[in-house]
Amino acid sequence: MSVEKVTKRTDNQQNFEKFFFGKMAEDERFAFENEFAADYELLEKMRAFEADLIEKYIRGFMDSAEKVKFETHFLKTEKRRNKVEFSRRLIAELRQKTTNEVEKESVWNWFGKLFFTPKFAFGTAFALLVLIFGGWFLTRNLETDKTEIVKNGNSANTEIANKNINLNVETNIFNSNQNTQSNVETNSTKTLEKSPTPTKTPEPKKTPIETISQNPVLALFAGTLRTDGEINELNLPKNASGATFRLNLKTVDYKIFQAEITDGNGKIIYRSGNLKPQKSALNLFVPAKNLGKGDYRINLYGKNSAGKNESAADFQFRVN
Amino acid sequence: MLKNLSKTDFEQFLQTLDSDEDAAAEKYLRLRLSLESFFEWRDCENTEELTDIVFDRVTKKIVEGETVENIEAFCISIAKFVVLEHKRKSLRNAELDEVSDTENFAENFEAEDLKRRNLECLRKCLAQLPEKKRKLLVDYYDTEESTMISKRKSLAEKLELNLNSLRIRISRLREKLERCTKDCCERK
Repeated sequence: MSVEKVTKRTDNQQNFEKFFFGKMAEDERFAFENEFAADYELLEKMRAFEADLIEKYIRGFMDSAEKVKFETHFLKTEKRRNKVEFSRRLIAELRQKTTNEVEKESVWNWFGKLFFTPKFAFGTAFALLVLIFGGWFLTRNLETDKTEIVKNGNSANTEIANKNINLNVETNIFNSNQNTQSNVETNSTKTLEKSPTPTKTPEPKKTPIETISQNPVLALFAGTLRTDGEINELNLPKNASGATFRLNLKTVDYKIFQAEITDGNGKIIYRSGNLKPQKSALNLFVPAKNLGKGDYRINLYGKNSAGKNESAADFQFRVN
Repeated sequence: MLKNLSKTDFEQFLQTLDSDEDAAAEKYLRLRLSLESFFEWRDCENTEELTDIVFDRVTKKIVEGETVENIEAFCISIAKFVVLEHKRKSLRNAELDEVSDTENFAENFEAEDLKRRNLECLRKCLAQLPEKKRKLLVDYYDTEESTMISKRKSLAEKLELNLNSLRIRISRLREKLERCTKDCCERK
């Protein structure tokens, strides 16, 4: 590659980075936009650069400073957040495919390849014949032994052992169902798992598990602690875009509310827009980027007739 | 697309892009993508709608007899005005939006349903891709951070491409899949 080409590429990379992270002055930006509108190749390079950025973000290849820059300057719009979400799903799907294909290939390819080497084809065929014949011979002998065991009346043990295994399988299914139900209120990551149906064979089927991220919902009641004295905890999955808090009110004295979230040091980390109550509750969505691990307080204000905020309720929660 | 124009107006606009019909259509699609990217990177949500507005205005100017020498530059300068108008309008509506943007439970469950549909559609679209292209995508993303560049370079070499061209090829495939998934979800 010529020096000129390398220099141009580096310039492009620097420009792209400046462009996507909002570091270009308006004039420079407009000139650059004119350039990519006239040069389709440049536009394609920019889109590829954008896709690389998204991949780096999704796969955790960014350092914390880059991540913050990306979240502040890039994830500004719903459209781009959807783009990131799509890429996340695509990469997960493709990487899952790789694992499956490797598993599939390992046995069959090895078996098939044996026949592609002419030198070993004859030897392999001979070895296979020996194996088949040997297998048949062994199975025949085992069948004879089994008949003898039945004759000795030991089959009852085998049946009991099988029953125990079946019981375990069913208990596991029951437990897994129970866990799923108890997680509904504070579920962090919803795992869509095809629940195995009770089967008479002792080995449970291994079905691929597909994980779909879900934004958790946490119901909170006015006051700081739960009735059992514990703080309400939120398990926020890594890939959730945020969490919804259902704020239950004792009385609804205002038409419009506004919420402020403060961290353990009393610093305001999030301020909502106007919230409208639905019956006696409000739903407040908070982006995941605002919710690191720690304790938080939601201060809820109601707008009075003069449009001023009046303290209405407090809620407390912890992010794990 | 282009709501306020007649067929003849649009043909006149295409003629400005190129006298050859096919070449004009190709240029139109590329310009459209440039404008959609322009709006997207200017933090606008409704990029398709805004692009239509630009084409509407440019065509109107052409029909009125304005001579356009550099159509791309002309479109981008109109697009810049459209962004400013759009931002002003968005600011005016901000107060109302804040209330209506509030998520509720129903919306949350709808979002989950949408995610499931998205995944189904993505799988369907991946299955529709020719085996060779699907394998290319799988190989491209089958890397860890430490081996990513070297693996992708050797993948590019295998295909007799340079790394940059491979990245562009993957980006095109990714966009194609995104469009396919979006269309599939809208049909469902």
